[in-house]
Amino acid sequence: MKGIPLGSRKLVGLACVGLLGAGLAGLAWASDHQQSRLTELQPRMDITDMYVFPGTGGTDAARTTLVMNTSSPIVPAQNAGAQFDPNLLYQFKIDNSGDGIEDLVIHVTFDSTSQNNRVINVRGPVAPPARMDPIGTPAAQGGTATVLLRNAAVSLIGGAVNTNLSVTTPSGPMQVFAGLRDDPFFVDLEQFFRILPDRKPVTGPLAALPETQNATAFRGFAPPFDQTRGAPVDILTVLRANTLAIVIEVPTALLAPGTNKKIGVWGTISR
Amino acid sequence: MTAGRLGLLGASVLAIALTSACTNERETITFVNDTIRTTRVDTVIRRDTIRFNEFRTFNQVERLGNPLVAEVLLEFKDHGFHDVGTPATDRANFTGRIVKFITGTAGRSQATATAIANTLLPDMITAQTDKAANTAGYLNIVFNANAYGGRRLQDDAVDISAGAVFGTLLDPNNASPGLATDNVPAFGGGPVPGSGFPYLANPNAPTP
Repeated sequence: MKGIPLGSRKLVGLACVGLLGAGLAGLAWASDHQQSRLTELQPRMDITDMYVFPGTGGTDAARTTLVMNTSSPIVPAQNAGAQFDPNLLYQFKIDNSGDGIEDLVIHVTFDSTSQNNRVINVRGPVAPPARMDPIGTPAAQGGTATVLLRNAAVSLIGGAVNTNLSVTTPSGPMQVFAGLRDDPFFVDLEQFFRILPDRKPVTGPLAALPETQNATAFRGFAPPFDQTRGAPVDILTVLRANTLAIVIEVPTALLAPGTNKKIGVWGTISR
Repeated sequence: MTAGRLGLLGASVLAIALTSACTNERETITFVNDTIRTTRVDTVIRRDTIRFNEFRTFNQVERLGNPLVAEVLLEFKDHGFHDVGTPATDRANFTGRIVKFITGTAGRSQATATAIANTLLPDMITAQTDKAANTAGYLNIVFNANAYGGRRLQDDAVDISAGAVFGTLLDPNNASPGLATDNVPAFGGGPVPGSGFPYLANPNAPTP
């Protein structure tokens, strides 16, 4: 790394056991874990990773799997209370024309009649709904403000979380799962924050890492080690971190119906 | 709560009791304003979530496409701006900031920095769905125009990104080998995803 002088602060030791015992707020970061003050304090608004790969376990390009992971890290002791937020709109957005504007959206919301009875509602993929500006004037489709899809050709309303669900589409079945899974992401988290300390969280044990850079390279490898496995692991594995995942597998023809088969995918959370 | 009700917030203490029609749960929100000394208590019925959601406007607060774009390449103060943006304006908003990080902090050439920014922006995971499934892999379309691309669960996003920004993946000059990989094995030694839907491994269960 060039251009950043090595910080003079003494390294704050963060042993694995210490991390586990010090609480979770502000602990984890991965590809997008707790990347802002808002998502650090409101983890249910935090998309931690997005994945897009061929369906049927990566073997069939005629189907496409979309994954949105949220709320990580959820340690096993928190499993029982982990739930999606029924006041949020989770969206998969698909650009199939190359302009960075969503041509299709999948709306995912959650509803509950009690704390332990979560259900998932999925609408789409379909063109984003026309939205209104704050004074009720029709505005552009898509964008960062939206209303819920009401007449999507493909809808799955009222499915149970933590269950493999399926809905019929003209191009074949669409599969849906929403619920708790192992967080698959991996990274040497603590060292990253020593290298780029301005990215570290403001709460939790990792906030105690130095404010100035005090490392210029990753470790090789790299505690923490999971002694029970006898292999190097990252902090998400040490924590046995789970994530609230939304996994949707659709016929690819629904995402790229035209001649252009190149798609761009991103996820959003709105409130 | 409607805008009209919000307009009633001229109170030193305003307690709104929200009662769920379904569960009879009660939630109380208290607003405090030191300058006005009246008190008002209002009660509304909380509609069921589906119907409530159908009649509201949702505003974006979080966004993610490619992994690590904001976390590594943008300063923390810019993350919130990125979260509420759209891919359509990413190049205008973030190319300069990413190039600044890569040329300044990482010490790479302007050409390398621009190439990386153009690859990652607009910030979307790109998949060429007409290509063979076995060519899927994060950012491999940079090197193989006939690859599927996308991002698989097993892809080492840290090493791929760090290899481009700090390593010799794109540019042999001024590399920082110690930053080109974090040396963490796939899945960090943790559970491996399954072959059947929904693919992600079962959640880690509480220890008995």
